[in-house]
Amino acid sequence: MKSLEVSGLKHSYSEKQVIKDIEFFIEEGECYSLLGPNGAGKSTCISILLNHLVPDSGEINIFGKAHDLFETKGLRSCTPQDARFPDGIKTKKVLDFVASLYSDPIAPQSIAKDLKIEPFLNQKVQVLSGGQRSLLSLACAFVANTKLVLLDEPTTGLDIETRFHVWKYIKRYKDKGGSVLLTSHHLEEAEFLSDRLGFLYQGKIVKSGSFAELKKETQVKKISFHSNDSEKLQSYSLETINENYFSIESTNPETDVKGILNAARIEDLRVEDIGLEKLFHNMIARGDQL
Amino acid sequence: MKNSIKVAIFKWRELFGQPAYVAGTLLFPSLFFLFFALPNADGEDAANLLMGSFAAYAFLGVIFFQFGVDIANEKENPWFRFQSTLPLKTIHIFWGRVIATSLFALLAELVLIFTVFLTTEASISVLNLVLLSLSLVVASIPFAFLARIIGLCFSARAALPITNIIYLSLAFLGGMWIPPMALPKSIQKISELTPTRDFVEIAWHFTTASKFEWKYVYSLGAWFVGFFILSSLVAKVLQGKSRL
Repeated sequence: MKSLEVSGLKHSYSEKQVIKDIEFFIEEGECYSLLGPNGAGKSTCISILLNHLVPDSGEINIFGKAHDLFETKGLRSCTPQDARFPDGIKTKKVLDFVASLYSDPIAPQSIAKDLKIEPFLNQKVQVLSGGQRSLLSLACAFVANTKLVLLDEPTTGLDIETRFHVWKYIKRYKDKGGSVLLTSHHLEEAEFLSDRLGFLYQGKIVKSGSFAELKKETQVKKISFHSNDSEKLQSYSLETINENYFSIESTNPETDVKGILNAARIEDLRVEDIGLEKLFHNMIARGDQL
Repeated sequence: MKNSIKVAIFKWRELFGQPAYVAGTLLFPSLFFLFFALPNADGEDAANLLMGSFAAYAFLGVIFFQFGVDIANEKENPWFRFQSTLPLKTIHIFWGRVIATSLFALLAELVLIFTVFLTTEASISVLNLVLLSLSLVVASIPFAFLARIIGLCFSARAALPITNIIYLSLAFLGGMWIPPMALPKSIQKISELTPTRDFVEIAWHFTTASKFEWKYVYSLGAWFVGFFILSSLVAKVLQGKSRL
């Protein structure tokens, strides 16, 4: 059974349509990432999934049940937005409260140990650092012990080591059959955790698939080299990396490498996959054609 | 009910996690009484009348601020959005707030009554104290909806002064600070039309020998219907497509 299934989702604010016919699904034990630039519609999409907004049209099912039924609230969990909590409460009491509302929660003490929040369990939430609040947010989502977790920018404010620890925790959750919907600005995070992704742009999923598929599909390579004869390469769209060091993006790297070597004196030539950030940057740059 | 109690306990922890807020809220009515009403509390009858007035005033203050300012604050706090994603019904959250606020209001009322006992000749039987407390809980429901309207309509920053203006004006007009017969004639007529007058009349029944009159209950019932409909309309209009 699919953990989450979204079809024909549309939503508009006033006259402006911000979500345009979105479709995706998440299988059990799978992580699906919704990526995209600011204003692409990720937050609106999450708000609809969490039943904060009523879509204009579309169907959302969580484990086969309509997402706006009360019973589906117990089937999925999420992180609090912006990791904000009410002042005056101790960390432990926040976790206890959230856990007490689910039918089969993980013991708060155990999740606190796993996510390394034990040291500040007895501190009031208003004195926690941004990173500590992010960890508490994650603990709130995972203490529920649901089979579907919605994570919105889960590692914001975390240092590299803690972020990696959290990634491994999420991986373990997946390995046990848990499903994750992730939104993130960290492409590295999405690549590490996701089985598939959807790239959201102007309210539409314009690309979807695994990272490997997307990279293959675009078939764009980056050719970088050092040359003192750059004037002989005017037929290529050179991007200057630093003095006498250039790069070009190529969909036909074999031909372009031969052409460059024939045209000018080249040193330190490298051909590599373009980074994911560049991949998405290119998608946005070609936005009108998407 | 179980979930409402969980919400209420969480809300209490939140309240008592801010001692300055708790102390200020609980002590303000008593200080107000000591500064402005104590000089007029000569003899048992006057002290009992003022005990009823200020008990009602203390109780109502908590209701106004917890439903008005707190709702305005929560609107702007992502925790409220998160809470709505938990396996809780809106009714659990509402009743949780009612339970937590009512208990806190009762505490404010008891602190006030204790202060009056310590400083005047006032007296009240345990039965009447219980009945007074219960009646204040029930009779404050229309004010909870009035405060909800403020909380829904205004930002957290604006809700505080607006709640103060409405609460203090209604308290004065209702005769909570100065007995209605001591108010100027023109104000006395207005006083009879205010919901706070109905509220304090019910309180006086239990602290003085005044006769219980159903007209105050009916009047508060009418205010409840009005504020309930208005707050529901406001919620519907303001929230639009939002389910929160």
